[in-house]
Amino acid sequence: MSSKKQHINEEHRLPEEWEEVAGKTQPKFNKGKEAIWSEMMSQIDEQSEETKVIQMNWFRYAAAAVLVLALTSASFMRFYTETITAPAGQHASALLPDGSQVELNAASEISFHPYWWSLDRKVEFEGEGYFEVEKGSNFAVVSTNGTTEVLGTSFNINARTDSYQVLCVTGQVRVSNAQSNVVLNPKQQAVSDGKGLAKLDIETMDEHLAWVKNKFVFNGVSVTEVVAELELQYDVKITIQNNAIAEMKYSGNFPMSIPIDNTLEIISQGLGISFAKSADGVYVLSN
Amino acid sequence: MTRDQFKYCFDEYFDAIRRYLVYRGADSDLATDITQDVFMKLWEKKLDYEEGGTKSLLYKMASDAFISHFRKTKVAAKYEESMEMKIETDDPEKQLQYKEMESTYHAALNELSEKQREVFLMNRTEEMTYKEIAEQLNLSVKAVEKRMSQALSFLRERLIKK
Repeated sequence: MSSKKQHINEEHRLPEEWEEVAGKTQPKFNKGKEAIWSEMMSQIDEQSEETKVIQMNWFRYAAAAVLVLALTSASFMRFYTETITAPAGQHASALLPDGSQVELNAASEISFHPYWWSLDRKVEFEGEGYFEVEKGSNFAVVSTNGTTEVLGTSFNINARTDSYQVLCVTGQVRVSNAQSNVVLNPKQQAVSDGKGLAKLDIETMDEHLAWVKNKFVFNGVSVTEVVAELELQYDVKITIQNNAIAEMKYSGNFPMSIPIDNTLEIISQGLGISFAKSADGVYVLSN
Repeated sequence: MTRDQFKYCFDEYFDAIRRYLVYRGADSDLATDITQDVFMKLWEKKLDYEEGGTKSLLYKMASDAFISHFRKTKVAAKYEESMEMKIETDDPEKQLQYKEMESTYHAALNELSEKQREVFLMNRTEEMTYKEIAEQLNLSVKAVEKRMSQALSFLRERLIKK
């Protein structure tokens, strides 16, 4: 049965009986071709089913994503906040989206929503700031102890810890707190006094607005107040040795740009007291 | 390619590739699995059918899969398990004789290097000429001749002991 086969090279022949063994030996498989083809077809059908499902789901996912995106961008626009801070020892300026400007005194902070500005002009504010508001829709400044609303004016708000004071410079301003609300005209000031808001007429606004021009202006104020202002503007700690000194009255004006040591020099000389530096940024006023 | 073209490829080449993997050293189950995988991968590639090109691609994919499998598990194939011999005789003595020879034959095949075994089996079992083998394996005919020569001298030594 073993016929001469053309593929066998004569030089490479084994003895006849071995060629017979070789010729009769074939690989054997347990799985038939048809079975394998069926398996592959099932797998392929399954895959195309999966693709169809994925394509259908794609539309659903895309629609959901668009919805989520729309909702988050609306809320993003409404709530995204920009905050500008002036730490102790520094002043800062905030430019609002409509061109309104706020000058921040030391230790003050203002927050607003830039992407919502055209719909609602509202800021959160603590500390002291000078506001120049562009004419437009209602402009509100919200602080812990009171709210000031304006329609294109300039005014100074002092909203530190427990006190609330607002000075109207131009235009008209409405100031309110938990207990009352008042309307101010230029050179009028609202001051919180525990019972509500008191309305005062101010002769000269220089003292109140000096900080905007980076100047100290003291008009017969107690050393305690002077020291408080210096601490804020220079970010230092000043101790007053005794009550006598604390209650002394001081008047003077000079720029904020001069170093603290020079400032203390000027004030001490004016009052006939002395000061000492105990560490970096720590001073004592004494006799 | 279409499903019909794919079926054509399958009918034409499945057996040859599966057997080729056995010649290289895979046992019959592994050869089946690899070949099935290779065909599935061919389908997933979504290429066009090419006369000659697709066949070469299948062989290449099978060869790569074989190499990568044996990189991980270094298990040598046992030829007894992958092959069977048609013993067409009723004479029990002859049957026994054939069985013994079969055993010796497989043991010898097992000891050939992969390269030598591959060409030897493609020639003897698949009945391919040296030229056809050279084309399939991307070798020169001279290289095939050399491997065959080496295989034969080893087999002569192992088989012709008595």
